[in-house]
Amino acid sequence: MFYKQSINRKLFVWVNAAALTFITLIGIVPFIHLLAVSLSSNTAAMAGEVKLIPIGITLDAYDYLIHKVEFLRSLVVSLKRVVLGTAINMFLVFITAYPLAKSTEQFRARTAYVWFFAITIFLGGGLIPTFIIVKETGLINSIWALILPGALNVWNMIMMLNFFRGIPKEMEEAATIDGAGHWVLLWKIYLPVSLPSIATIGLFTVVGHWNSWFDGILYMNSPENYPLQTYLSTLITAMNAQIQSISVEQLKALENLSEKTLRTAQIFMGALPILMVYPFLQKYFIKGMTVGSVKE
Amino acid sequence: MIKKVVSSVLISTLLAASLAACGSSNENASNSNAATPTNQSHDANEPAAAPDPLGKYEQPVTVTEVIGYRPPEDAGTPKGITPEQNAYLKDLKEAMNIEIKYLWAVPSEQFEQKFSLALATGDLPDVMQVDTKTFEKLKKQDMLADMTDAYNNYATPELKEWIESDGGFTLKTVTSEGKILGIPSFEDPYMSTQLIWIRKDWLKNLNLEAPKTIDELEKVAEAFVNNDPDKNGKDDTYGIAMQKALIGWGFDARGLFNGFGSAPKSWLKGADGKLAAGEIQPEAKEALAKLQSWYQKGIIDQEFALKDETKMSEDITAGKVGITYGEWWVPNWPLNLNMDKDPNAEWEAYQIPGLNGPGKSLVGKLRLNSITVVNKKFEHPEAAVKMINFYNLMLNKENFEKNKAEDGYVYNWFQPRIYQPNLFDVIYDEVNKAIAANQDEIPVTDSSYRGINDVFLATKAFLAGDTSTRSKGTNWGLYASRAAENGGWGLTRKIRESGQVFFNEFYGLPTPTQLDKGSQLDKLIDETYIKIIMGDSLSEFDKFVSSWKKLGGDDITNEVNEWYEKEAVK
Repeated sequence: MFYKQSINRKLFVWVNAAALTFITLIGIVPFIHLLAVSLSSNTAAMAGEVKLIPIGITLDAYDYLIHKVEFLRSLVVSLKRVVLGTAINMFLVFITAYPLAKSTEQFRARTAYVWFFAITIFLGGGLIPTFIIVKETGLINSIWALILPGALNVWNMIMMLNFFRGIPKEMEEAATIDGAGHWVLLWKIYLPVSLPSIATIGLFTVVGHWNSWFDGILYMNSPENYPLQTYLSTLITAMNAQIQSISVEQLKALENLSEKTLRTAQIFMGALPILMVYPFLQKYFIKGMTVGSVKE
Repeated sequence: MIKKVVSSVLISTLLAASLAACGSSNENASNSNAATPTNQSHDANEPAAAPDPLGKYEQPVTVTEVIGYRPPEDAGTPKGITPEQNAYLKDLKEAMNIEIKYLWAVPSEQFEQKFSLALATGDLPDVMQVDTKTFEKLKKQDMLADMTDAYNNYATPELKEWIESDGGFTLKTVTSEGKILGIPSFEDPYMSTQLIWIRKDWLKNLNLEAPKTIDELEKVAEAFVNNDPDKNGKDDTYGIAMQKALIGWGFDARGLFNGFGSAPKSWLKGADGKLAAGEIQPEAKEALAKLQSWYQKGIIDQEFALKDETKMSEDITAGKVGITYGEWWVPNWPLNLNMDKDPNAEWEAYQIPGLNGPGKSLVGKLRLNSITVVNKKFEHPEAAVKMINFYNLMLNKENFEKNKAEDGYVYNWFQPRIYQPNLFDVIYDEVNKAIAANQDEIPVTDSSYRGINDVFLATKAFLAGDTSTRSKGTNWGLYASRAAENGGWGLTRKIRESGQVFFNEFYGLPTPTQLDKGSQLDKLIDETYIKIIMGDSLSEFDKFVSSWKKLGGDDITNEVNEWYEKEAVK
């Protein structure tokens, strides 16, 4: 900021700002559109007239939404899933990454273990075998079917592992000299130091749990166990365009689809909680990681 | 709490009593040998001495099902109700001692995916209502129970009348080596007759006549594009609704292709008596050339290749377009929305324009919606037929009036259900009769009651200008689609009587190559057609024909003709 700005520099700043604004708009305009449609009158919404400003403003859709059992029920399932899932995921990532971050002198079988985990990134079981395992272990239709199959995210675990390796050895040594064992090291030294990376991985996990919908369809046998995104996906899936004629019942379903404002209201409300998580975790992204803990 | 229990006990006893009553009355009419509910307790341990279509099992029979469901149609349905809580299931248990257990329930859009998974893991329910493709798959894997006896002994005379109303034509397609493998649910194939729907008020505004030929249609459409038909002083209209699925289920180009005497994705009888695929005929090329010129003139939307049916319905609702090809149902959705939005809007159905005068529409030989099948491992195939009987009983006046949506009766969640094939004709006749005689109620009380009553009430309300229960558009939609003389079904009937149709001769189940390569070929058709309309050279069509043949089209043609020689009823 304090050096003289050349023409090129100015040009760069402007182009940069314009490009970033444009990208931001691409991201934010769909949300504004959703919000506008959900606040509009149904006729205007059905005629496709609403763009970014609501036409015939009404809160009817939201009023109806707070009484809509399906939506609220799914919201509860989703919240349960996020809380339980994130807790379990983070715990497993944390305690798995710790020993694997040690050097081979400290933990001889380390490399073998890392490969054991890493191989699952490249080779998956496939849809049907995974389904059969979930079914035979009796998890079908319970919330654990959504949590346990992916309880240890290996990718996140390796990220955490690499982060642990970046923590200066001196801290660990200092603690060991003072009499700390592995357990104390893990909880008293590594945990506080790695808060930024826990926040990052935690955010990925929360978003991942919140957004995933397909496993809900696979593993849940009745709709009252659907997480929110699975429920929302059933609202927006279009009718199969390959059919050449529609039946009376399909027609009836089309007629009932005219609740467009309600649909958009639900999609908007579905995205809102996760949008609100970001500002709170923002500071951890910006914070330096282990700045100032050790003087070389 | 106690109150609740008492009332529910009361309700269920009442239901049981009334059901038993209808059950016995129907039996007396149908089958004098059938055991009545009272003497059934005597033959406690004799399994099925005399088959009773509506009788109660001694021991509870559990039937597993899977269901792809849509939201309840009635707004009064209790919120948050799930398929397991459907009140019909409770009634079924009381009437027949059949317990339905859903292995899983998913919204209908996800059904196919979930069902393939179940098929792959061998996790099939006892009774299923499937489409033709799944039927063929299950048949090949020998997973279907023989339903011949179940159908012959347990179907009510009414059900038999429905199933055999086409002379056993449809039943034959689900019969293999003399065994009936499923109960088909089908409708009148003329329901897919193509009509053209035009804004009559726009015609009046511009002093135009309804078009009879494709050239006249082009002139009207051009006027709709250029001469401000809605008189709002803005250039905001285009000619004819069209969307990316050219051969789809609505607002598509089927009617136009038919006007040229062609029908892509259908099998037409050639001069040599053999069947040929409609998509590679020279007539299809002519229709594409016309569409191409319409695209250039702005008669069809410049962005049609990006729009789907929902987008099209928005354009129609918004009053951006005044002509659409479509079937009988278009007034029901979305023309009704346009009527509600614009009080001046008036829509009228006409026979599709042809090259010289009104054109012939394509209709199928068969309109098979679904097939009810039973898992080979299941011991009571007759339970499936009895459940169909039970449901048909639920449609009559008495039961329909008693079973309110508010009490948790969700009809479109009950499976298996069979359509009454001639329901639309019955509705048309009965409603018009009742309206002409100025009646306040329809005299019919049997299984067609529900269908007729709905249209009757809407027609009466529309003609009287009454909008107290439903909007004008909704009333008009039901009236214009099903009861009006020149409406959807009215005009379709006239076309059926005058024989202004040609046939899709292939009505068999998909052939092996069709199952294998069909979707790939469909994609090729869609892409080529859209490219040509958007300005590609017409010679692309000839290239498309040769690659279609090479990619499996020839094999399919042979298979279809083989089927035609051996199995088609000519």
